[in-house]
Amino acid sequence: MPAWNTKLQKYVREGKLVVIGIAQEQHPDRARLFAQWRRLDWPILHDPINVMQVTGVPIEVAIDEHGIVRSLRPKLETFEEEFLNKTFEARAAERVEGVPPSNRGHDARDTGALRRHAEQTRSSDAWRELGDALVLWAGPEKIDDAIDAYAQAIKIKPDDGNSHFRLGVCYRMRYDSPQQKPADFQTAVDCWTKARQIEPNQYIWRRRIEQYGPRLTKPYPFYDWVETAAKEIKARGEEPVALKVLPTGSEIAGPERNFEAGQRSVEPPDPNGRIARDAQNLILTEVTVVPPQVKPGETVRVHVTLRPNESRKAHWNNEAEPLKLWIKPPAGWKVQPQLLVAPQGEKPQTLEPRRFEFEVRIPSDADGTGKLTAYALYYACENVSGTCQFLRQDIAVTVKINQ
Amino acid sequence: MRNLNLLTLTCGCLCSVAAAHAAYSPRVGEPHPDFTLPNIADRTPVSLSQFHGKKVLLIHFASW
Repeated sequence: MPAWNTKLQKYVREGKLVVIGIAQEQHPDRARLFAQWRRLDWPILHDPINVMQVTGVPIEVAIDEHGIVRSLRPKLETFEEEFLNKTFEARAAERVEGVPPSNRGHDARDTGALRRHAEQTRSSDAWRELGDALVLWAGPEKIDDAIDAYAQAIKIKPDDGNSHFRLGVCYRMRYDSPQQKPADFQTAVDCWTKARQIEPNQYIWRRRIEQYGPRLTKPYPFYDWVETAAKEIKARGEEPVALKVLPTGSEIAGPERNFEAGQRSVEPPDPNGRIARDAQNLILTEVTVVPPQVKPGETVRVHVTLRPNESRKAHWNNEAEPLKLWIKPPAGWKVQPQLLVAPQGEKPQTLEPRRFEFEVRIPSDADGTGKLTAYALYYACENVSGTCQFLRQDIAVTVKINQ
Repeated sequence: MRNLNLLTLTCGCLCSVAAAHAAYSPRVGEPHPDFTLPNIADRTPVSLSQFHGKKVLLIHFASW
């Protein structure tokens, strides 16, 4: 794409060509950072739910002045000669005005009309289209309505892979938002897994799971570019787009996983369990296992999210020992790493969710359900009384194993 | 009659599968379906049809 950008900039400025990018991304700010870094000065559209139904990226499509597709994956060398400098004949008007069936008869952004249409027709397509409109146009506060719409579509048509995938995107969006509810991330992964079972050749869906799953044998550099991009943008004297959720774990290819080398003996931070338990739930925890089910001998990635409890007006105390997570696997299970330490917040008191990730390799003779025990140690404070405490919270991680 | 039923059934199955997984497949010589998606910069709607009369290069990509 950078090559296209350099070559085509001139034509775009001259008004001879319109370039439109469509980004298949869960997080829009990452695509914005990418565009800033690469100086992509043409419109970039966000398709978090893959309404375009592309099964892979990148795909370039050359479309003529009449809306007719002239070339798929055009070549850079012959682009001017075979497309840009050519005049194409108009075709019969009815062909040119082709609209996809999904947009026929109503505005794809009018959620009121789409809801009435779904309630009248009771078709899964209509409910899915309502979900699409809510996700794309109604803003984060309508995410619950989008979830309901996709759930309706799935109720009518349980094998609607698109609705399963999009429902998963909604749950992950809610997980990243202040409206988050317990188990949102796990539900997202479960939905994506279901979608992939229905359509195993959908590369975009597959990648969305891999992004959060165990590091691949050949680690895939999903977001390794982020660090370089931020540095280079700063060096140009610009302020890089701030990312709401920083890429972690399997979203980055390095450092590589190595279970054997990772089994160095690290001392448990509270071996005898003497630290007081967080009985008031100042911190709420959420566990997500990716993939949700594995075979013996396989690896899962476990995400643990810890959030200060809003109803107790709790917050992190950053002027003390940092948050730690200790993982104790059953005999034969391999965990890497076993001790995790979270970076402190920038101010003395902060409210941000903190995320830990680690990988677990299941022994080849495991069966049924595996349980890992883990515990977090942290300094948390309650705003009401202002009291800060050093506390421990035990966390159970359940891994479903399929023979 | 039995064969005919079987044929109808097979056809029905194929059609529903095709509808459920209508993957993106633009064809050379055919109109590109219109779409409307939010601009990543400011969430304003952008449609392919608003560029009618201009040559367009559509790039499907991901930053990853």
